[in-house]
Amino acid sequence: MSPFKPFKQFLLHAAAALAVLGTLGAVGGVAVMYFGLYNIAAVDQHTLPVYTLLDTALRQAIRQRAKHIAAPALSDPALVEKGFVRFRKNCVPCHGAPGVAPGDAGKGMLPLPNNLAESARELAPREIFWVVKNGLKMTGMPAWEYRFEDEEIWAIVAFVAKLPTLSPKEYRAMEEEHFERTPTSAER
Amino acid sequence: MPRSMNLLHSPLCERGETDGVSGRRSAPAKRRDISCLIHLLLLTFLSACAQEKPPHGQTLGDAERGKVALQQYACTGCHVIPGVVGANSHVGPSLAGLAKRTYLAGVLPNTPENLIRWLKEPQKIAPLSAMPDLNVRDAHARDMAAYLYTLN
Repeated sequence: MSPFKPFKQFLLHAAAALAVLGTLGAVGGVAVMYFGLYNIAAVDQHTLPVYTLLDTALRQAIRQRAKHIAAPALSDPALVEKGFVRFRKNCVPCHGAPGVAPGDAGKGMLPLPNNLAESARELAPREIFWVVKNGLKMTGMPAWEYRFEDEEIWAIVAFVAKLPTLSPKEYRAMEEEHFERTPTSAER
Repeated sequence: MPRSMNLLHSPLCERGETDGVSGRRSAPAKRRDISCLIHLLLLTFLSACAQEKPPHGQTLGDAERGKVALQQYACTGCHVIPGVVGANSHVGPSLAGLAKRTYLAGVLPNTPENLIRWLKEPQKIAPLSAMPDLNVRDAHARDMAAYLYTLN
């Protein structure tokens, strides 16, 4: 009797078990999908495992794809100012700003659009650039590549990078300086 | 309460059956009286348990609804909220242990009324705060407060 026979037998059994479990898993997955068992309502929270899976996949995908992007210098005040104008018009409606609430559409979304002052602390400028340019599937984040030139996207990134340094009062002052005074959310 | 009052007129609690001469109630009638009383007490207790919270006038709302409202008013965008999946942001303070907090936002004594007020108009209370007014409806603020007070 060959010394490998018991091992071979073990492998066979393991393969059979895996095949059975895999088939059951696949059938279960298809059933969950086909019978609409997963609630896709935005008012229904993800379960923690699903949330963790999606959130991790998203973060890793951004990191991976932005890896080789070289960010230009972003500290030029003129660039920051240019970014501010676009930020206020195109980002604030969903993301809000320091002391400014997101709009109703943003508030109703799941996932909730990130607070960008926090994103600026967590993501590198090249990663923010990638997200703004390409958008994010299934999150509501649109791609801006076909609306803005790269240079304009970098301007937005330059302003977003400044967000964590702005107090709500300073942000309001910037608004007042650039635009006609807009009522604060308390006055609206 | 009215539900149990109705029972006085139900067949369960018959009136009458008093002794014609003495005006005393007969033994079986007394037994029925006692059984009726027990039923009444039980029903009062049960109906008190089953009573739904009135939508108005009550300070705190429904905690389960509050959990969804906390998401729908973007609270989850800035605060860690235990029990709410995805609420893991550190823009503002974590809301863990809010029930034990002494001051809300560092300015208001922690009472249900103050918490509801704060949720509805933070900018009026603390104009320098980064927490914006989120146009929270009164009923939703009460629901959110109910959930937040489960965090201790």
